[in-house]
Amino acid sequence: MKSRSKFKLLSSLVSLFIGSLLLLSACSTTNKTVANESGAQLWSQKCQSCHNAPPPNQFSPQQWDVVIYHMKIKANLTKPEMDKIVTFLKQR
Amino acid sequence: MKKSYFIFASISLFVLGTCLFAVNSAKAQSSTSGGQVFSPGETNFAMLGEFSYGMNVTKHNTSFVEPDLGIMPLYRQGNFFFEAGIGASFSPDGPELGVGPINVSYMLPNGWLVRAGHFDALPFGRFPRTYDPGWINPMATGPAGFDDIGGYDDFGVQLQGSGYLGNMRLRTFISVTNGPMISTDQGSVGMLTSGSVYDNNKAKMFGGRMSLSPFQNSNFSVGLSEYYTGNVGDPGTQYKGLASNIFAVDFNWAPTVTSLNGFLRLRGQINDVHVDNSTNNGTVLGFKDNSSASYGLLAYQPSMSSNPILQKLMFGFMYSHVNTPSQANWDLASTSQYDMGITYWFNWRTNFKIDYDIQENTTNALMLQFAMQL
Repeated sequence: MKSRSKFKLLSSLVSLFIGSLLLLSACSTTNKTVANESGAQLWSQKCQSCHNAPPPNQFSPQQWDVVIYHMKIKANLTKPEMDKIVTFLKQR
Repeated sequence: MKKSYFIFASISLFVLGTCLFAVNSAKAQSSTSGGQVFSPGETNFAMLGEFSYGMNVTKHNTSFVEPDLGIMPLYRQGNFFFEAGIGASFSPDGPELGVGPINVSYMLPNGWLVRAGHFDALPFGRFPRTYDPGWINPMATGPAGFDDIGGYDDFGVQLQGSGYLGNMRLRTFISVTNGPMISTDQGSVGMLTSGSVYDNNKAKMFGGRMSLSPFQNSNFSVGLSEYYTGNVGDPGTQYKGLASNIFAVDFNWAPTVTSLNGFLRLRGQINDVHVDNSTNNGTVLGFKDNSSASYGLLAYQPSMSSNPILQKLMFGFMYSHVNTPSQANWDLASTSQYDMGITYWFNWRTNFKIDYDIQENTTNALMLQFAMQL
């Protein structure tokens, strides 16, 4: 009985995550809203959700290339969000 | 033995990262000597870190607390990314140096990331992974119980991706890791521990986190995390075959409220940990091994105030609660914690906090903390 409930739990978990993978695969990597949002808007919105937004002059353009990757991991930014934010930060 | 394995794995990963860096540098140099265009942006490096230091004042004593230092070298080579963490702390036995996280990531063309190595905090909710550093947390202390019930570090592989469902943002982490082990130490029998460099059995932990930002032009998000492993016990012991399931739900919202001349931070998380108390051979734990930890935080900063001092102040309140099995006799007892504090922001990443901490069955404390991102 115990092993059956364990199997059920494991099956539901596997299904959940295969489902989430499929769902993610079905997701679009672009979006109209993001397409209309500027890098400055995304920088303010995404950074501020966890901590104060860093001024662009805090790092060099080369350092921003690294730091944005770190933040992509931390905040799970989408690729369009990452590209727009880093372009904004490097241009200032 | 465990320590030597950990050091060996750390050094191996570091050497691997350094070799990758060296190979890439050599390639760049040879392309220059071959008359090709040199691409200086291919390999980049940055160093981040955090530091905090403070003082606790209670009715019985006044004590400076140990400084907390973490340094994180980061390398990026095209779509490869390497991060490492080195932390220094003090214990009654003297200064200690710790290593972690150490992991490497590769970004796929669609923006998904494949990661492998040591993760300092699994995506189990958001507090340990994101909000814990002193330069981010508006309070001078973390929620009660989150170090033991929810702050899991581990070794393994991870896939993370994000995309859009209509106008909603979906973010997912999926990971396979060594998984936690059941503690058999006095004062924590039945508690899950993590971060061991070797797996104590063949069972892996499988799970992840999915979060949704349902509203346009809003940073509100809600997340669900779940991890399962079929065995947390050592082979050949009575704990062999005990399964565990850990679950968390979290939310985060940081709206700008013009009528309040500033912005709010609202955060919360509930961690729930369940470990079987019996195997096919019968009951091995004499209690129901369920524990939980939760917190809610509200902070307000009048950042648009005309007063230059007021606009740098943040007022915060946090309630947290930890619930442990009453028959387990763990050192970590069930308790509630209330924290009220004021933070002064010198700049976007440096602050000074004064908190008043009230915890059931413990002396109230006034906490002072200085924190900065390096």
